[in-house]
Amino acid sequence: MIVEIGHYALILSLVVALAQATLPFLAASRRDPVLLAVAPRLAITCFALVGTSFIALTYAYVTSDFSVLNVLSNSHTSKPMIYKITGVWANHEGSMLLWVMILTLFGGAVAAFGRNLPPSLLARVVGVMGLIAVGFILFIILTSNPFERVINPPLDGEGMNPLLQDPGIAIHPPFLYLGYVGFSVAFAFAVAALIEGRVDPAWARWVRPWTLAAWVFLTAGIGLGSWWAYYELGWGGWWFWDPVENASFMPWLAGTALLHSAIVVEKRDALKSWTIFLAILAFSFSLLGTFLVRSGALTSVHAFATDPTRGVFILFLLFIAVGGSLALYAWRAPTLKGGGLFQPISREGALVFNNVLLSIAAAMVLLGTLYPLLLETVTGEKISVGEPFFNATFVPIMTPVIIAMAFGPLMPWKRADLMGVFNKLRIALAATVVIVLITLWLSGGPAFALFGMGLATWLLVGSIIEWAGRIKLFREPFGTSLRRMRNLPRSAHGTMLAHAGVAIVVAGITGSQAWTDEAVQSLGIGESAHIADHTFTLSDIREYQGPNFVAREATITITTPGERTVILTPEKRVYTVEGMPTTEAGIQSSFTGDIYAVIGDQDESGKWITRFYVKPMIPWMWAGGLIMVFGGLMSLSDRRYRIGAPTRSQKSAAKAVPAE
Amino acid sequence: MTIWIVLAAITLLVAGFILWPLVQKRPVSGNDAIPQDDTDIEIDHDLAVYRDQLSEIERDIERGVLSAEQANAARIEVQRRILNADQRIRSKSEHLPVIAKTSPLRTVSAIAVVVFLLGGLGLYLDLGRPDLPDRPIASRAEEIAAIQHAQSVNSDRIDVLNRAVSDLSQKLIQDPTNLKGWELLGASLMALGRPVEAQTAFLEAIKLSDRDGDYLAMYAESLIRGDNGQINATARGVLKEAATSNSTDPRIQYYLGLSDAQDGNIAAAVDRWIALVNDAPGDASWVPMVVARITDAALAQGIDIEGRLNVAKAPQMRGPSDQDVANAQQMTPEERQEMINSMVDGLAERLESEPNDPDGWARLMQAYMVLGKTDDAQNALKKASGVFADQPELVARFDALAKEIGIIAN
Repeated sequence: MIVEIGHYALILSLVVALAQATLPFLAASRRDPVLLAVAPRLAITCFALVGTSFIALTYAYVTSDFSVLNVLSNSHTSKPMIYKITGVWANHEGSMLLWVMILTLFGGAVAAFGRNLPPSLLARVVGVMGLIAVGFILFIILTSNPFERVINPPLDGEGMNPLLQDPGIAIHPPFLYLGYVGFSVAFAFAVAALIEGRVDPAWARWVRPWTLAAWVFLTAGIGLGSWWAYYELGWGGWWFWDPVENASFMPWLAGTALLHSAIVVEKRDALKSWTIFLAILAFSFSLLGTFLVRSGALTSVHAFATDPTRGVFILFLLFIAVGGSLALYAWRAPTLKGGGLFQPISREGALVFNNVLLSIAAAMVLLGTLYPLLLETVTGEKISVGEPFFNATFVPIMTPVIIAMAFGPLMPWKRADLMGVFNKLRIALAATVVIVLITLWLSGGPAFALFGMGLATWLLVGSIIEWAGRIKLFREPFGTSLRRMRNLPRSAHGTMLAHAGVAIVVAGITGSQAWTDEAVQSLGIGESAHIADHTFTLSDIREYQGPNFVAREATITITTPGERTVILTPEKRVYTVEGMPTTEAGIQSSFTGDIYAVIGDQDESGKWITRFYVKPMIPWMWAGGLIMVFGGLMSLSDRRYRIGAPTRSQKSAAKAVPAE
Repeated sequence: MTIWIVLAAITLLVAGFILWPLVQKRPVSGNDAIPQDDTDIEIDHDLAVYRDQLSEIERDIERGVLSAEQANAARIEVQRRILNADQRIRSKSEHLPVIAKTSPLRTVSAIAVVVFLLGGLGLYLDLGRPDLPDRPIASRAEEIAAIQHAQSVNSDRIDVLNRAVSDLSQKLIQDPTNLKGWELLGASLMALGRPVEAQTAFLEAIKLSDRDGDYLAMYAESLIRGDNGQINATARGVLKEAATSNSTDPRIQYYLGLSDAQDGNIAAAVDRWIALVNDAPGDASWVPMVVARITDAALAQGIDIEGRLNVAKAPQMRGPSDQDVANAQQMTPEERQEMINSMVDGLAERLESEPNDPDGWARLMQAYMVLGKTDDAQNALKKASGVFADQPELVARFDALAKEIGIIAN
């Protein structure tokens, strides 16, 4: 019965979404206060219903109810409980349900926390969210219904892709979806603003926390995804410019640009039209990503579905959403009045610079992702656009962004004195030179490593200088600085942390790319290999039986002169139900880098094929990502996003006293 | 029944929650107030932001980030925004229609919501399966036990067949001219699902029998099974040769028909199968299977077979009399079920006392499967395999039948 309740709730959510996509627009254009009060209720109900159906599906997975086709095709009784739960979204139907649940979650959250919004704006935002929800719930019910039943269910299921049976991958889709579905809120605000014909600082402030939240989740999701690729795929790589990775990276680039341009709207009432455009763009990239992954246009570990009707359906949704919103934009954007003026050299100017380059970067990734697909469709020729293309385009575009990132926050609004700002950055320049020299002395190159380390230092020190300047560190007594630090708006801490996080990511990428040592060899038990001061010894091999796999576990002892001995236990597993092997790398992380070991098969001579890597600085990448996420959260908690709903009493007070 | 109550409750809850503002008599006071003048609210919302921006400027001065002059400029900018917002909202509200206390729009909206929800219910009736209960694995212990039982039955049967294969092989090494021996070996290997090995045995039998049509038919079947059911050129050649012999083995015409069907000539296949059924002896056990094939193909291709099948050949061997059938048509479903049950029980009892009736066993298994009594069907299979353990050919036949009607998985 619970399964059928879930199915009913899903179908009911479709009709509620249909109401949500129509009534609020009517209410807003007629300005009927009673109908306006219905709008948020529709969004909340829609979430409650989709949530119910998601819980019902989860229940079916947890209890191994194979009368549900989706459970039968993707689960197995011998799977550990955590993967029964994560199995809900480790397949096409379930992951679409998660997608829609998160969409309606955001719709419901806007409705529930949107009391500070003018009711007609809130109604229109909710309405646009409803339109998107209708499209995707319809998609699920018509092409990918997870509640299809089996009348004579077999006694066990068909299992789940073992690559996905891993804690890292298990939690990354919810984060990723919270991220790129989160941009639907910014999209809805943008479309609502176009309909209302008003974009002003108040609008920018209302939309910002949602954009920021989406950005935080997307950053975390991308970080988790690359971390998973790093330790699970067993090649020591963490980013492959795989189209599916790009699909999450494009909205991130557009979203980062949006985050910055919205500041200009909020503070200076300028860049409105551009900001609206970015909001549409960010969510369009999310939809494009969903299309690429869900249509089966790409084959990868993520692409569960290869059903052409699904692809056509999402393509259709993509055209309606992107085409419709861009048409609306073309029609209404010219009516948006421009606001504050500014000089090219100013905070606004720096943010425009950042925006232009981030957009070009996103366009490059788009080109590199779609070009091979288009070429294959038109000529049938298969090409692979990989790392060389992206290194050649992405790095030159991002370098000026990173250089400018140190300048931006130091520049005042309206007009800035470039030399004055540069003077403040003298210490950063000095630190950069010192680090480059130290790097040269310690490693002797290569050139790109010197460049990357310099860039990272410049940005890290530059970000700290700006923050230190705000709290007058070393210029006032320490106690004063501490007090100033506490009084600093949290968004200022957030800026510093997010920028510093980028610097640390850059350092991590540079270090791991430049100085990784690796070796592949066959070792008998007791034999050793030497890599970069470390001695890797294959001490033992044993086999054991896991809950739903058999594993070969190697014990690798790593000794380094003057350091503690490290023992790693990489595994090679074969998942019995699915008959698929996976590698579980053994990794020892430390501040200076990772030691990484992979065990392979036996060769003809009975020795074991092993791969060892020494990867300096690679943990910095994920540490930097975490710092960025933390910076985003810090900024999100800034008090200015917590303005309560205006009440009658506040209003009379406001008329008497201009400031609180 | 419970499910309908729950679904109705969900629907009512949803409708009630959504429509609450519409059915409320008059706005309640307090935070949830629905103020009459929404122009004021909109200004409130904008003012809240700009007021906050003003206080932010104050804090910046306090921190020393802004000079007094810069702060003034910033303040003027924010104040200008406040004026703009006020002006914009005021001018907009002048053009707005005055909304009556009860507007028809509200009624229409409420009706629309209710209609939508009913539409959802309708869609569920179309797509959902309210009749199917949850089947969590924990509630299916009996089924698991049954499957384990079936597996043990299956492994007993395989043991018998394997023994037969090794015994026969021994015998045939000593006496390679034993025609019957080759045939039994081939049949046993077929039953074990090893058609490619069976091909060798049947080829020997063909050689020894001077290309007898029956052995050609068996050989053709092993070729077809070995090629995953595809009838290749070799198999077709063998079948054509067999058809010219005096063999009456129904497999020849059946597979020739299937070959036509695989070539896309469904009409020819149907013709061949109809002729096969009409010429069949009255009690041939394979007739229902071929009739089912004919009906499927005819339905799929829109071929009219009305009147072409010999009705007397309908698959009723030693079954109920016409009178029984006529009675059955006037019974209630319960009574009919009871009659069928009693007939099946009668057959089972008879076989207990006279087990030497392979066709009877086959019919009993089929009957159990039709009644959905998989366990009983498996028992019958086990018993039959036991009774005829010394006749691998029959065991093979039971096995093929069991696979066909689903007693054991393929």
